[in-house]
Amino acid sequence: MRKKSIIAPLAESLKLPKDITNGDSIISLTGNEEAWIENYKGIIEYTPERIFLQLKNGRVAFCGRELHIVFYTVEEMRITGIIEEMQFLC
Amino acid sequence: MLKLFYFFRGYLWIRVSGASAERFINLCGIRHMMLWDIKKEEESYVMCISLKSFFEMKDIVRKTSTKVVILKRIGLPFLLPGVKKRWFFPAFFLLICTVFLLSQLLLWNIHILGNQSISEDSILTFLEEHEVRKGIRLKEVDTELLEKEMRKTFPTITWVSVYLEGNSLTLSIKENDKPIPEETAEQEKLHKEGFLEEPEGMDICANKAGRIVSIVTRTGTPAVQIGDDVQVGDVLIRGRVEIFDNEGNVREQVNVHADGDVMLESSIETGFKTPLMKIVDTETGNYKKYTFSRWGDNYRVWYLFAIPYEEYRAVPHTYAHMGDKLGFTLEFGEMEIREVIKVRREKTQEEYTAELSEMMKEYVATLEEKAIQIKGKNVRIKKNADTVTLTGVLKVQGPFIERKETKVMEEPLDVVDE
Repeated sequence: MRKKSIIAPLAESLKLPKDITNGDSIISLTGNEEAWIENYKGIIEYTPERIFLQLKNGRVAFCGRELHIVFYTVEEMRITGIIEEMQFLC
Repeated sequence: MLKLFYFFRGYLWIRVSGASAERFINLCGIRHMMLWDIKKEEESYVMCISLKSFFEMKDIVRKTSTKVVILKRIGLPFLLPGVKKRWFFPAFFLLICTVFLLSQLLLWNIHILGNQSISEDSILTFLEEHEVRKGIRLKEVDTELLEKEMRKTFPTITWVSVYLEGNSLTLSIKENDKPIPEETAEQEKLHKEGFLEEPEGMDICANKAGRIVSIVTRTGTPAVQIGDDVQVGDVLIRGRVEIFDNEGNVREQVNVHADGDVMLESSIETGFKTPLMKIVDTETGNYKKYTFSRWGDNYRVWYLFAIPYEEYRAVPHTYAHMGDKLGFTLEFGEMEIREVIKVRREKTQEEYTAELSEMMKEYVATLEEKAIQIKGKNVRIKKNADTVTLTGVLKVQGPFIERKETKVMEEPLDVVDE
C-alpha cells in the first residue's frame, strides 16, 4: 500500500496535479497500439511480449505482441505494438 | 524529424548484450542519453544512440558488465571522410551556395507599373543613363534620387514611387491623365474663320506619278479629284484657303498648313541581285570533344592543348543548366568541335530563289511600314553567268506625298475692299 503523505490532502484541496505532488506516473494510451509513459524510474524487463517498468509508486507491466520502445529518455518513453494487457503491481 | 536531426549529428546502431542490459538502458536514461528504436533480439537489445552519448557511456558499460557492439554508423560525421575522395561535390556545392548568396546582393529584375504614354524602353534608357541596370549591386540603387530625376525627366509623371523588393526594382508611375489644356488666348487669335493662319502656307504635293484613289482634306483646298492622273510635284492639297463674302467673291486668303489623306495608285520598278556562287563550310568528319561552361553569353571551352583545326564548328551539348529564374544563365556540358573546310559552289535554284524572295520580302516590309499597300506584282528571276537577278514591277497604293511651301500665285486675286 502506498504511504499516505500529509501533502496529499493539501494538494487535493489546492487541486495541484498529482504527478507533481505525489510523483504519480502518467500513462497515455492511444488505442491499443501506442503508450506514452511519463514519470517512471526505469525498465525492469523488456521482451517483445512484455515490458515491465518501475514507477515511482509501484510497477506497471504491458503485455502484448511485438512490443517496441520507440523513444526512451529519463522522463518519458513511448511504446508501440499490440498492447493486450496493462497491469499495475503495487 | 528526430532522425534527421541526429543524422546531422551522427548516430549509431548498437547491440547491447549481457545480464544487466535493462540496467544499461536505465542508466543511459538517468544520464540524459538519448535512446530510440529499442528492440529485443534474443538475449540482447538493439538500439540507436547518438554519437555524443556513445562516447559518454563507457563507464556505464563497465558498471553494468554489458557488451556493446556497433552494428552500423549513420550520419553526416561518418560521410565526411568519404567526401574527401570526392572533393568536387562539396566544392561545387560551395560554389553554388556562394553564387546563390552573391546573387542575393544583385539587382535581377526591373518592373515598371502604371506607365501609359511613356514607353517602357524610354524608362529603361533613363535608368541606363543613371547606371541602373540588371546585375548591379542593390546598394548602388538610390531610389530617392531616381524618383527626383524621373519627375524632372518626364514632366507628365505626377507621382512616382521607386522601391526595392527582394532582388527586384519596382517603378510605380502615375501619369497626368487630365485633358490637354485649352489653347491660350494668343493661339485663339491666330484662328481665322476656323483656320489656324500661318505666315507661310504649305501644300501637299505628289512625290510620285500616279492616279488619285482617295482624297480626304482636313485643312487646305483640294486641288485634284479621285481618278486624276498626277505627276511628280503636282499640288494635291493647296495650303491656302479662300474666304468668300456673301456675294460669292473672294474676300481674303488664309495661309494654312495643308492637312489630309491622299492615296495614289502607282507602280514601282524593283530589282535585286545576288551572286551565283557561294562559299559553304563543309564538315570533314574530324571532331574533338571538350568540356565547356557558359556564363550568360560567354562560352568557355576547357582544353589542355590548342584546338588542332584551323576552322571549325562548335556544337554544344548541355548537361547542366541553371539560374534562369534568378536572371542569369550557367551551363555546363560537352562541346563538339567539328573541323570544317571552305568549299565554293554554285547555289541551287531553291537557294537563290529563297534569297531573292527574302530580299523582296524585306523591301515589301519597308514599304508597308510607310503605309504603302502592294496591290499586285510581276517579278522575274534571271540567272546570269555570275549573278542571279530579280526584276519586277510592283503595283502599289499609298500616300506618295510631300509637303512644300505654297508658291505665290502669279495672278493676283481680286480682293474686295470693304
